[in-house]
Amino acid sequence: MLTSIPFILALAPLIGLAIGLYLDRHFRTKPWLGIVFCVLGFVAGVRETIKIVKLSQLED
Amino acid sequence: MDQARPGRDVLDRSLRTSWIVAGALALTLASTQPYDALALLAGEVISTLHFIFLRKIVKLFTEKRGGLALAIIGKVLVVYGGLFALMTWDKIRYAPLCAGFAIPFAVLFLKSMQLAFGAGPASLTRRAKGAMLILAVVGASALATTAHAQTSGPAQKEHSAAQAASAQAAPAASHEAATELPNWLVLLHDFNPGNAVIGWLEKNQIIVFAWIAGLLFLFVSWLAMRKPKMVPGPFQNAVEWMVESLEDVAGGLLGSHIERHFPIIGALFFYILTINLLGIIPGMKSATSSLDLTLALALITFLYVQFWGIRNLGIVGYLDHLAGSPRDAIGWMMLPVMLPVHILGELAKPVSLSCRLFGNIFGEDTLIVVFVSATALCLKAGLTALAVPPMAGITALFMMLQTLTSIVQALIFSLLATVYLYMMLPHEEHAPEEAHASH
Repeated sequence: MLTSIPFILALAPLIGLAIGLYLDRHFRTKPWLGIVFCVLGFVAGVRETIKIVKLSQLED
Repeated sequence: MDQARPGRDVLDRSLRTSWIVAGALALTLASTQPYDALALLAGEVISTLHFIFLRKIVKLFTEKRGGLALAIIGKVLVVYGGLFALMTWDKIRYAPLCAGFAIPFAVLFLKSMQLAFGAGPASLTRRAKGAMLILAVVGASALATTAHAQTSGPAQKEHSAAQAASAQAAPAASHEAATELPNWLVLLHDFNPGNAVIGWLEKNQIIVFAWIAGLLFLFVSWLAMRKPKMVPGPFQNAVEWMVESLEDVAGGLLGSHIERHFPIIGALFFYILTINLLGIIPGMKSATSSLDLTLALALITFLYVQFWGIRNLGIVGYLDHLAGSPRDAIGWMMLPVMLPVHILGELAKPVSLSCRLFGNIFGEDTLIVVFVSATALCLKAGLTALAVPPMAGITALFMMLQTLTSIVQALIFSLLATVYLYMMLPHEEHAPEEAHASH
């Protein structure tokens, strides 16, 4: 289960970036939403990681 | 003489050995490809500088002395700047540069392994013997490369002419890079290129192999449970044991919810397992080595988890969960930030699930393709002694590893699906001491 941490950490900002760039193209706000969503994705990744670590500690 | 520091000693010796190896390789290459030899040496220089700077940084950091920032800036400028400058010079190819850069790492790895197995620095006579051996190998390879360059000169020209002709004749056939072993559908298509049905099957081979795995899975289950007995036979016993073990592991996490959710968790595990193991049979292919199938499986899991989230928490509770359960003013103020963060976190789960499964299986398949191609190349070049025992042996070892990876990846996929489900289900009726899933 802990092995999913690197995937989550690496992929969450990328997903955020993809969503941000898509929204940027719609609202013509390049590159701001891309940056904001990338950072939010990173925060989400860290949050998920903390959740996973807590859960694995609970199991131990 | 002060106390020997093993770490530093190993690094020094590794760097020295790596210079000997790099020098020998560069000498071998110098007569035929001088720029490659130069690139190799440049890579070695950069790598040595990298280790020297790294040692300096670690020393400054552990001894808490000044000049740490200076050392870091120096490393970045010299090592990365140097690498960048070398890469922008178009006469230098990447492959020898990377090889030169990797030599000290490889030597350090081998030396550390040697130390780990209890062998210290070799005695002088053994070193002399080793040096003689290296010299002999380098001399032989230098002779071989020069001889090869002399003989393959005209042959290469013929080859390139033939290639040009074939490229003109059949442009589609010119990009034949082997990235996967041919399966029976590809072979069938090669022998019957005009057949529409076989053409369609070959084009959609991922779906075909996924079907085959599904049918196989159904057939095995039917065979095992055709006439269930109270005292099971060996086959029924084996299948029951597998199902019960998985149910135990997943049940440790889900508790009383396991009965409702085990069908999908078990189906995911056994379906992925069958698909993965199918790839080991020659002529077959793991459908999970395609991102399409793994993404589909991950999306099924994602939708299932979200559906149960909504069903258990209700629409309002689900939205509250997504918003991070705001209960006070600060919580509501953080809503515009927390909502996207939660949604992104949910979206990252299926993507990471699918990428991991795809990456592992695809990597294993590619590894085996590389070693099978290497064996074939050795056989083609007449090096039977090199092809059969070492290369084929390594391939067989990797196939055993593939069996293990197949099981582990199927287990990880289904267990992560269980964990994601667990995060969405209400936890009140589930005491923490029950959660003893063995990870």
